[in-house]
Amino acid sequence: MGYRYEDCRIGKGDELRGRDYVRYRFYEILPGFLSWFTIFAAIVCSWKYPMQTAVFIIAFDVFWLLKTIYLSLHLRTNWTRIKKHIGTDWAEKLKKLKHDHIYHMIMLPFYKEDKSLVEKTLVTLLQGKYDSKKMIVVLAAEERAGAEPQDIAASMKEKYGDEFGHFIVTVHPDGIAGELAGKGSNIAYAAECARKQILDKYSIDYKNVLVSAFDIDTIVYEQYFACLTVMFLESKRPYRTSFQPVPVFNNNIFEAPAISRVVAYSATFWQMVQQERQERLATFSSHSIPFSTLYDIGYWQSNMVSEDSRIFWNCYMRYNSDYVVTPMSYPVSMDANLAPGMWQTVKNIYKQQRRWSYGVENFAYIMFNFSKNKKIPLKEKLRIFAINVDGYWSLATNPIMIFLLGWMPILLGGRDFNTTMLSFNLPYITRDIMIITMSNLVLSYMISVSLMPAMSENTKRHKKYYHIVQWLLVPLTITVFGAMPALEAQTRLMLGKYMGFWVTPKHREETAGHDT
Amino acid sequence: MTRRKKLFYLLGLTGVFIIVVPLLVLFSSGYRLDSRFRPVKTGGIYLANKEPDIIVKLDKKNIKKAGMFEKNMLVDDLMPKIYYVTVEKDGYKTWKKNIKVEEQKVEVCYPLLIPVKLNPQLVPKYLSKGENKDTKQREANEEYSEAMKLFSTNDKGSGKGIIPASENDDVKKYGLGANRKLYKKVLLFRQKNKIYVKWTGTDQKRPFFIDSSDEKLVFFPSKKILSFAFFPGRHDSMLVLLENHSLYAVEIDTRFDIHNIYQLVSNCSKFAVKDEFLYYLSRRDLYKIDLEP
Repeated sequence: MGYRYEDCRIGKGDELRGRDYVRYRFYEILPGFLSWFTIFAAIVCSWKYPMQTAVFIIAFDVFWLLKTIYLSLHLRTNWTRIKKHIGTDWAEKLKKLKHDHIYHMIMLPFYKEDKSLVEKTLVTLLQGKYDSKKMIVVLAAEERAGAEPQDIAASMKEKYGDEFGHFIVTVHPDGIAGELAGKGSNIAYAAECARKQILDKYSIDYKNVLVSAFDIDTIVYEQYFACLTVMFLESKRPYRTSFQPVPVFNNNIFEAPAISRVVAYSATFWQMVQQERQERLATFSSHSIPFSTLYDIGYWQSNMVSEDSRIFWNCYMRYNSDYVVTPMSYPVSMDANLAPGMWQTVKNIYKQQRRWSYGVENFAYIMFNFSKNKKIPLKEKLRIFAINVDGYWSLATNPIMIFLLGWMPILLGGRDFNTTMLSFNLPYITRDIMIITMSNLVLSYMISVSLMPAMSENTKRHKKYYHIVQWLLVPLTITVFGAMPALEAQTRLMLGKYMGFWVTPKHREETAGHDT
Repeated sequence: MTRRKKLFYLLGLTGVFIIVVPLLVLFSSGYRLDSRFRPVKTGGIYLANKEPDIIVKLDKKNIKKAGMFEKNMLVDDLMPKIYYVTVEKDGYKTWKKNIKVEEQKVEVCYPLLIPVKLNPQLVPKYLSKGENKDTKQREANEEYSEAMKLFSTNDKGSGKGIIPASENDDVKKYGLGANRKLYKKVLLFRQKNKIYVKWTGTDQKRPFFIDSSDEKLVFFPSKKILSFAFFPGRHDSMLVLLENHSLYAVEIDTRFDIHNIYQLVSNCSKFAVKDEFLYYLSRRDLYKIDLEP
């Protein structure tokens, strides 16, 4: 039996039976197994083969330093590109292109957000340099959130409905069999509603509609839609690509604590690096896709957590690897993690990172589809396999190996090893390499300041100073809020303790609420 | 970034990796270049030290000085041979060893630094009269009483005054008492007029100043040993009282030819250790010396 994409939109292993189940579970187990095996092997080798392990640690630290340099070069390049794109008058460029036929469908899923937060997002859409009459706003509420969000949605429609080309409110029913409650299922439902209620009703060609899947706190820069439209129209293969902006977490950056800022900017930097590596780029968080493509692949999966990255892999498999992500190098602004109270903020950061790391569930999907899809060349499959394994493995293990296991040979290596020059020099060598690596933080500081909103004149000097010093938290954040949640996510998947969709609580000084 | 540029960076950094890692590993292992740019294998000496501002000399040449914070010192880049090593500090007696450095190996030593002037303080039995004019109600000095309890405990031989309560199980296990002392798994015991050391933990964790898995003779004076104890806060040195009523600080490390022994007190009938303090009786007076680094 040939490969059918529609049959392989798997959310998790227990949806399958027989050999397919075994195969899928194997791929779900593999990332976690590799990570734990690495950590376990590092401990055992530190004990049994301390000399060789010490040599490996030195080599690994140098590798890490050079990799940081390599990625920093990408970061710097993308930073230059972002500045250029922000400075570009996309609206002016658009005038030279035929674009009146293009519509933008903006998916705004929400859960229990405060009215002011929802309203601010809508107002920002109207303030952009793009004809709002070409915008189709889809405010996607959840039935399980209760009546109040629906009332908010209705009031928003009443207040702003006429400002846009079209404005619909959808209410995703609760408890649909086979669905996982969360953003993916909500916007999939909403997209189908919009198709029937707007596109079909007004005979709008699916090919002329660009869908932007945002979060409710996503604030677009004023030229976002102009930029997106230009890129779409100028793309050589516009229906074989998604469009990925760079998420910056500026909405509440000055209210968020230092640890939240560092984690947020680290995510931004990672996205910036990936924008320069299109061969590795998948969609993340807010992204855009042509509606015809979205409809063709069956919308976002409603039976899994990481729908934002999965949509790319759905397209990739549907078109037999003939699908890419176009990096926009243009920002959209979102909320940094902030809760009432430091401890709650820290917990929320951890949970959010864990949910993002749960994108490892895509690995099983990819490999399972590869095992069925014979049209994708082996070389391409191996390339994707290597990229994904490296990505998930390094996220979960590298910070732990760098910062925690560097001392293992000395602790476990025994007397004979501890009389060698190598054992005495090891801590100094690794320390010095890490200091050199950390010097890269200067670049991080410079980029973060350039991306941040301007600080007010009244901001006290010591608060400005914090924005420099905060980068010293990086060793802590990449371990505690990088490696550990990634390891937990992989472990849960490995053990079949599937995660549900965790809603990131949003908190701003002027509002508080929840978001899907 | 263009593919060409990426490839350029990737190849360049890979080249750096291939060159730097072996060099770094060789350097960490003790390889250096001699004056003729030939690779040689060097060794080092590591001094586990708690005193700030010490000066390390090798063959009478100043090599290194410890700062306020960096007290432990690694002296590396040493050609394999025997070095006359001294550790000096103003106002302290010099510690010395003839240390044999082997290639790619580090010898770990534990300098014992004793002040030239110890400044013993008299511990009175009662607090000064000025505090209470009525001599019948003189206030007893608690410190004196506690110290005297230490002496009576030591006389009984239980050793409990010296050994922390958490280690009382060890009292039974190792038969601790006047002739057997245990501290941080280092067991000192006296047989006839000789003091031996034995490591009671796993051999992999054996400290370097005990260079044998079996019991090892550490000190065998010509005069009779009256009592002994671990040096305050250290498991690599001890205090020994001989029948000539002299109290000595003796390092347990007998490696490298020189065995450092320092006389602390010349007229001592009994002594006891509590925390960082040495208490001793000289005639009927009780004195204490602060031996904390």
